[in-house]
Amino acid sequence: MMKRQLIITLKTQCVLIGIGLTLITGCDRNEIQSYRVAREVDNTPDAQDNAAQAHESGAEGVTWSIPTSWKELPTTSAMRIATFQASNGQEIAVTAFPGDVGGLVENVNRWRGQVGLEPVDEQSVNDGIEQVPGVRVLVVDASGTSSRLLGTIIDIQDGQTWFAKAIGSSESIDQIKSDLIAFSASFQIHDHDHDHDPELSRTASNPETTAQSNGGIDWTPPEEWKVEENLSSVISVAFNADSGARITLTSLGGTGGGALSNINRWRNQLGLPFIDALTDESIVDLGDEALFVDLVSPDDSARMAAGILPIGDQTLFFKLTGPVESIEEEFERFKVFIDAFRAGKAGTP
Amino acid sequence: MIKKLFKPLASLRLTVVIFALSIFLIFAGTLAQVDEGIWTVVDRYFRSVIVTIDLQIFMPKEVARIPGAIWFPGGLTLGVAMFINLIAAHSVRFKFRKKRIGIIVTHLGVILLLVGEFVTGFAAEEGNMTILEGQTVNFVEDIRSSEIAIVDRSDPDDDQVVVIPDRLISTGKNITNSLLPFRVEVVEWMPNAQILGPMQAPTQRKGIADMGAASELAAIPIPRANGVDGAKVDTPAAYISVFDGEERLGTYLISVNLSRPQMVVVDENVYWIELRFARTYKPYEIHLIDFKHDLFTGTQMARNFSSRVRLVDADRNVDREVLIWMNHPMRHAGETFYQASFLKGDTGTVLQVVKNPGWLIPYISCTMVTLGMLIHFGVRLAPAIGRRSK
Repeated sequence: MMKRQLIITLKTQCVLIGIGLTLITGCDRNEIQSYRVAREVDNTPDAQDNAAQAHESGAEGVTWSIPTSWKELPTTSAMRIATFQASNGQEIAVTAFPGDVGGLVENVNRWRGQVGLEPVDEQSVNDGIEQVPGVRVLVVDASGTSSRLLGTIIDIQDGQTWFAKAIGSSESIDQIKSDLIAFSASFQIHDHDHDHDPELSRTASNPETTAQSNGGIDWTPPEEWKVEENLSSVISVAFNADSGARITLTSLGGTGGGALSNINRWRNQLGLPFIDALTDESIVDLGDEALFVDLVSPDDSARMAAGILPIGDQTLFFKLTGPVESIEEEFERFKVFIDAFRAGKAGTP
Repeated sequence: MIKKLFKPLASLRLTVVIFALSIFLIFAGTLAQVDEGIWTVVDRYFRSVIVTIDLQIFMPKEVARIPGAIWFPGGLTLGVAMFINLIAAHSVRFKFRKKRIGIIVTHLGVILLLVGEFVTGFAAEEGNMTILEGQTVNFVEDIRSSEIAIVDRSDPDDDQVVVIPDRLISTGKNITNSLLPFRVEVVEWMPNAQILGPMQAPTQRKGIADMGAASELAAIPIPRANGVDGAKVDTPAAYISVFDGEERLGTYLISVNLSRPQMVVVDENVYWIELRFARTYKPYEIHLIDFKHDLFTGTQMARNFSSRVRLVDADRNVDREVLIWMNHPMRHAGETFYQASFLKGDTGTVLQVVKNPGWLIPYISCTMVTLGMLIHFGVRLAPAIGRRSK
C-alpha cells in the first residue's frame, strides 16, 4: 500500500514538474506586441551633409539636381542607382537599364501592375503619359486601388533608359510630383571628354592606357582583342576578339550575389542543371577564393568560360562567350587576362 | 513525511539514469551542430523540456539517409531532474558527519552550477548595438531572432510600432491580430536567405514579390549557419502578402539584409514594413562620437578598436562620455558593453551588450566543487597515512 502511495507521489510530482517547466518555457517573447517609440533622428554626418550640400550630384556619367527638400539615402539594392527621401517621407528610386528595356508600353504596364492596375494597349499608354516640354522626359501617373505610382522615364541619349519612381499614398505623391518632374528634367550626360584631359578620357579606345588605368596590372590586350565602346553601365571593360568571341570584365560590390548563384545562372543559360556546391568538375579553384569555370552545354553547341576573383570589398567577373571554336581560340589569352589581375591583386581596377 | 516523499526521487539508480541520458543528450547536441547553429542547438536541446532528435544526425547524409526522429528529454528536464534528485538524496540521507563535509561541499557546488545555468538560461540577455558615427541608438538587436515590424509614422514625434516575432512566422501562416493594421499571410519563410539581384535570380524565383521597393529582387533559401561555421549569422527573409480584408494588396520581399523599410498603403494610411533583428528598447541612449580602428604601422593588422560614446540615461541622471575598447567594456545598469565589431569603412561600431545576473555563479560553484574534492581527498588521506605509519 505504502509502495503504491509512493508511486503515485512520484507520478504526481513528475506531472507537477512538467507543468512547471511548461509554464517557465511558455513565458517567452512569443506574442505580437505594440508600442510607441520616439522617432529616430538620423543625425549622422552623411545625413547632415546631404541636407546642407548644394544639391548637385549624380551617378557615373550623368548629373542631376536634387530638390532641396530631398535627402539621399544609402542604396542597398544592386538595382538602384540612387534613392532619395522627400521631406514627407516619400521614397524616390532611381534606376537605369541599357537600351529601351522592352519599350514604353511594357514599362508603363509593369508599373501599372505594381499598383494593381490591369495592363493597357499602346494607344492608352500614349494617351496616359505626360511629356515634359523641352526635355525627353515622360511622366506616368497611375492611381491603383490603394496606392499611386508616379514614374518618369528619362532618355538622355546615353544608351540607357533612366527611371525615377515613387509609390505611395495619393496625398504623398501629390506633394512631391512637381519636385520629381523637375528632378527628372535635370538629368544630363556628364561629358568627361570636355571636363578632363582628353588624353585620359579616351582610355577606352586606347589599349595601352587601359592597361595602365587598371591600377598597375601588368597586362596589355592581345592584338586580336579590340576594345568595345558604348558599354552598359555594369560592365567595366569589354573586348571583341577577331575570332568572334567577346570578353567582358564586370566589377560588382561585395560577392556580387555569390559565386554559386552566378555559376548556376551561367549553367542555366547553357541548359546545364543547377549544382549545390562549388565542387563540380567544371570549377577550378585558383586559390584565394578565386575560381575558374569552363562550361559546355549538354549538346556541345555552346561554351562559356568565366573567372570570379574577389578583390577587397568587390568581386571581378571575367567572362568569355561566343561560338565554341572562338572560345577554344581565345581560351589561353583569356586565362592570361585573369592571371594578370590575380597577380596584380594589390592594385585593383 | 518529507522523507517519504523524497525517497523514490533520491534513488541512486535515478542518478545513473539521468547521467546516462545527459551524456547521450550532449552527444546528440554536439552532432546536431554539424547542421544547426550553436544557439539553435542550445535552445532546442539544452534549454528545452523535450527535444525531437533527428536520427539523421548520427549518420552523414552522404553515407545514408535515415528518416525519422526520437523524442528525448531536453536539457531543462534533465537539469531539473538532476537538481531534484540531488536535493532529495541529501534530504533523505543527510547526516552531518565531518567525514562527509567534502562531499557535501562538492554537491552544493554542483547544485549551484545547475542554478547558475538556470539563471543564465532565463535571465541572461545578449544583443548588439550597431551605431553609426554621429548616430544615437536606444535599442539592442538580438541577431539570433528576428521580427516583422510594422511602423506607423503618421505622428510627427512618435512611431507606433507593431512587431511579429519570428516564432510566429512560418510558411503558409496567416497572421491576424487586433494590433495589426492589416492581415499578413506568409507566402514563404526562409530562416536564412540570400538576396539576389534581378540578373542573378533563377527564373523560378523571380516575380514572387510584386510590390514594394524590393520587388525586383529575389530571395533564395540557403542552409542555416551551423555550429562549425564560426561567427556566421542567419539572415532571414520572407515573402509576405498583405491583405486589406479579403483584398490582396501585394506580396513583398522582406529581409534583414534590406536596410530600409518598405511602404505599405492601406486605405490611404501609410505603414512601413520591414524584417529586422528583434529589438529591445532601452531606457538609455548611446551616441557614437568617434570610432577608431588603429593599425600597426605599415600593416593592415588591427592594433586596437575603440568607440568614444556618450551615454545618456535620464532616469538615472547619467550623462557621461566613455571610451570603450578591446577588453575595456563599459558597465551601466547591470549591463556590460563590449567592443565587438565595426562597420565597413570604419563608419560605425558594433557593441555587444550583455546582461547576465548569474555570470558569477559558475566561478563560485567550480571553486566549491574543487574545494569539496580537495577536502574529501584530505579527509580520506589522513587516516590512510595514519594506517601506513602504524
